[in-house]
Amino acid sequence: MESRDRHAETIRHEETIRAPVDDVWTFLTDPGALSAWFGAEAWLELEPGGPVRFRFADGTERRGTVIDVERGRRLTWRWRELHGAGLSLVVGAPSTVTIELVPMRDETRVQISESPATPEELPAAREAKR
Amino acid sequence: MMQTRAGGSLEAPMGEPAAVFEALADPTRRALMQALSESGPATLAELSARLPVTRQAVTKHLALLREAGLVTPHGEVRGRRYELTPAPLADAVGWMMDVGAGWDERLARLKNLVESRRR
Repeated sequence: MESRDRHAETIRHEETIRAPVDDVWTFLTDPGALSAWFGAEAWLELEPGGPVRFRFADGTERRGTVIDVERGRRLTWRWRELHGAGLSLVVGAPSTVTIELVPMRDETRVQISESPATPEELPAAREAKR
Repeated sequence: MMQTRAGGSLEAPMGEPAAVFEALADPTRRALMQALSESGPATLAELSARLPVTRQAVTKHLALLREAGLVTPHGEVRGRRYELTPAPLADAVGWMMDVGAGWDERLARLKNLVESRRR
């Protein structure tokens, strides 16, 4: 398998927040606080394999799974968009989101990256390898 | 955009943006796309003649481009012509822009909420 250039396809965003890292972490992990800044009703179980669900005002949902948690530092999940129901259910392409917190004196740098999930990362491929 | 009708299954195959970005990650495949965009539909033999790689390599790269929907074959195996179909490219770029705008807004809200709570 050839090497994959992950830079071109990854979307990165960064913001510096004037607050200690623990305060920012709370906003990532407390469902109420997460819902407030996400603009969606959020539900998240903070452990690898735990479900992640965001329900937006327009009825669209994003659902997925927590991949990795390093408390106070990093949170990774994989999700995909769902809208409609029953036979008209439309499922979006899966992608992986990583939110990283970097403490800097009295500020916190928040780095968010999102990239399309590769076939090796998808559950079906992982099952097949076992 | 970037959506597949998957009958509700969460085990759908590889996401389309990933296939497009993977296709673009290789210089030979980019050269193939360039050649097809300049010449219009071409056969395997024509493409191999124009690129400094073996016919087998062109076959392999065409298969990957086809999988990503960037190239569409026409005709029987013999004399089959490959056409550049760039629509998935626009979808992949659209995906990046949609996702990008969403995170900008969310990060701005996060900053406001955390900082206003501390005042």
